[in-house]
Amino acid sequence: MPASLLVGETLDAPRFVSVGEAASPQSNQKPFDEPDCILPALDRYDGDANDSQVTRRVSETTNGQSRPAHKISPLIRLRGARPCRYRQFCLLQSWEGTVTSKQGDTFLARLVDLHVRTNPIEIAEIPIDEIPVPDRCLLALGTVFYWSIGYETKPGGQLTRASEIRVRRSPVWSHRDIDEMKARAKELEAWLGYDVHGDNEESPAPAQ
Amino acid sequence: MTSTATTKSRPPRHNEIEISLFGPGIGECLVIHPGLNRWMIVDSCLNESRQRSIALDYLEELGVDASSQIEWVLATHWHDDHIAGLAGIINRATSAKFACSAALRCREFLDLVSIHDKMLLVEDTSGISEFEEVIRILQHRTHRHGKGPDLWANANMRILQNSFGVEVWALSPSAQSVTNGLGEIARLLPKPREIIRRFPVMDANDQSVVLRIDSPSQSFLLGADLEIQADTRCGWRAILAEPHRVSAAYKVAHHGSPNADCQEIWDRLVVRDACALLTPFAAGRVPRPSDEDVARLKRCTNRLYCTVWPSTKKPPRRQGVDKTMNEVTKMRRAIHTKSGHIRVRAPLDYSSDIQIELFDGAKQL
Amino acid sequence: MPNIRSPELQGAAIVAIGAFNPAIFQPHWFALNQLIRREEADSAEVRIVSREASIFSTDWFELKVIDRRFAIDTKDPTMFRVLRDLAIQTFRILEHTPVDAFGFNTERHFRMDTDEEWNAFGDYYVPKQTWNALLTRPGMRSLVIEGSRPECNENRMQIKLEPSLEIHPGIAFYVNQHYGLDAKNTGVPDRLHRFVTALCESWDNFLEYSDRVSQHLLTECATRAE
Repeated sequence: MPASLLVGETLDAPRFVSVGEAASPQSNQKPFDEPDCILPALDRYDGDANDSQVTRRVSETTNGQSRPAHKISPLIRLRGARPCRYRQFCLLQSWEGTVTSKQGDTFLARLVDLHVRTNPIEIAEIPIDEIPVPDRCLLALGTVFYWSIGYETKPGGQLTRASEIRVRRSPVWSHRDIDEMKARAKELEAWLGYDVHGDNEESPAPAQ
Repeated sequence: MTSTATTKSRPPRHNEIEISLFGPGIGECLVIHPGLNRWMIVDSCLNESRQRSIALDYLEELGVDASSQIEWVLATHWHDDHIAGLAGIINRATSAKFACSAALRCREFLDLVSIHDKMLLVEDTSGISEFEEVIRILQHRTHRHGKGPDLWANANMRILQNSFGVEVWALSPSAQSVTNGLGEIARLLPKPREIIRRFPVMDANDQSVVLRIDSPSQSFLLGADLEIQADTRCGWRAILAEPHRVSAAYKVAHHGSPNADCQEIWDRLVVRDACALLTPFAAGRVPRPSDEDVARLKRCTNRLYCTVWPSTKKPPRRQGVDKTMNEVTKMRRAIHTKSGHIRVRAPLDYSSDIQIELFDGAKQL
Repeated sequence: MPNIRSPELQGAAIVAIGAFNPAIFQPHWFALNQLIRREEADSAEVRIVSREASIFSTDWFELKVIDRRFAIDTKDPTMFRVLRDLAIQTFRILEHTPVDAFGFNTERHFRMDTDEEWNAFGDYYVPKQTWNALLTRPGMRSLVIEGSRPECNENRMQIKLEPSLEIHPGIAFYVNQHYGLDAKNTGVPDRLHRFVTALCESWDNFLEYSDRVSQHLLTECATRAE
């Protein structure tokens, strides 16, 4: 079974009909969420402030008899997996950039066109103000960022032109990474067959 | 002086020297025929489709067998604009020897090369990954047991000599530059808890390999990216401290940048009104050669040629996007992808003027 | 010649099957490891974090780790590569995680101009003549095709067409690229390396392929209609 996204389905969902027939009368209705997913009672619920609300709801449902909340394991009800976080963004252009120099309040970047790979590389000077504040501390030589330009339609229907830069986040070098690097370098040195700082086999003759 | 496609594909005679210079907006490559149908490639840059080295494209056009006729491949330094596609050349040139700067002959550089596996998603912009690939190919060559580069080039070292009396000499890096290079490479090494980033361009120009090709009748100076340093034991000053043959043609160092140029080079290392060949570098804050660079160089010679001119071009138009880009950026320019080609040829067995041919948009400035 | 349509809504997801410790996957773990902004971790909506399951969402992605299934998805087309980076860096840190299979997923929703055009699309790919003898007003609910791509040797592709549940009249295209990792014969480090390498080398190509799928299927139908 391929690892695929969950997609909510119900019998009332829209369906294609034959050409010429009217569309399903229910096709304009939003389908129901998929059935709730109920997890088994958990020993420990690393929840948030809603914890008390959950236990209260559980206690109220047990045949109307209240039970001490602390004796009831929390029951977690999850809503259906229908995502409602679509961002309506018409992406016109995107680049991957690399910072090549920083000077004052601007930086120079090499931009690779991610839409049309055959387009030439571009060099751009960009003010640091265009970088989101949380990302500015990451800006250094060699930093990679993504730049997207397009039109966004907000939930209320408003259309706005958007230019967004996001710095790629990378983890840090670990001690293990450094040790592995040095081990590999040692292998290379051994393969070279002589001390890396040793002499060439060819004896140099003075230039004229 | 511009030439046609039919003349471009005419190979040199066996007793004719050729120096071909390629360079799009970023990158540089020299393809050298020192005679006897043997070839040497110095540095590498990619062709227009960015699929393989332009040197291999050119040699194929001439009908040269890369696997048997390339004698040497040399990387003057490890900046990515000088070795893009080098691994592809090494892979094809199975009988070639490989040389690089002696400044790389250190554990610290091997440490850097060994990092590549850890730096996933690093693309294109670091010569480290290209070098790592080169070493991997050399390691797997069965007839090269336990061999790394065949030569670690430094000052006053002869790389090649043939029966026509042609010699290729390395004039740099100096011993002091090699020592300085160790510290600079070490500073690039990652430290624990540092964020993983693409390697910045290291100031490796001091360690780059300047070459001089001597034929019985004339010489040709290839300046790589060597710069003028305050320390007289490094850079061009170290070369100028010794007597040298004067050259009839000069591949101008570091794309004509003023930090790689001084009057002494023109007075003491090249003939009056020498042929000066340039490649642009358009990725810096100031594209090179700038108009000021060109004016300065033209005071030294009337025969100045550039593989691509102007060095940058306008970005392609993108509907609905240009306006936003221009609002966000203070400056924007596009890099040429197609390289021009300057070809220098001269007979080996008698003295005559060198012949200059320009292809694919190369220009006399 | 029909114009190239742009999807009105898009999503992408990376799913892995293996042995996970859901309790690790908390927003601040990601922030501490420099994988998301601290502000994103602070504002994350946490549904649950426990030994059995972790589910939280930020303003651009949702993470679900339930039992043997790890999934991150985004509905923001500007963040598809950022999602890939997040997966890569997460599993570079969790380098001992046994992963047995993984999949790349995209969804694209296109709005059709009219109900007729919408119905014609379904009728083109599932002609109703055969079904008229069995059902009254038959309609295609979902069409799933499996196969492989020449460029990707070790995986299975699945393409699904459905009426869109998000827009009407709309068509949704779901593309899944599945990789099996031969857990019996391959060690944990090699499997994880394969996963991370595929993310580095194949994710962009997969996104381009998904785009081609929807454009091809829309264009084929429209061309025939003309």
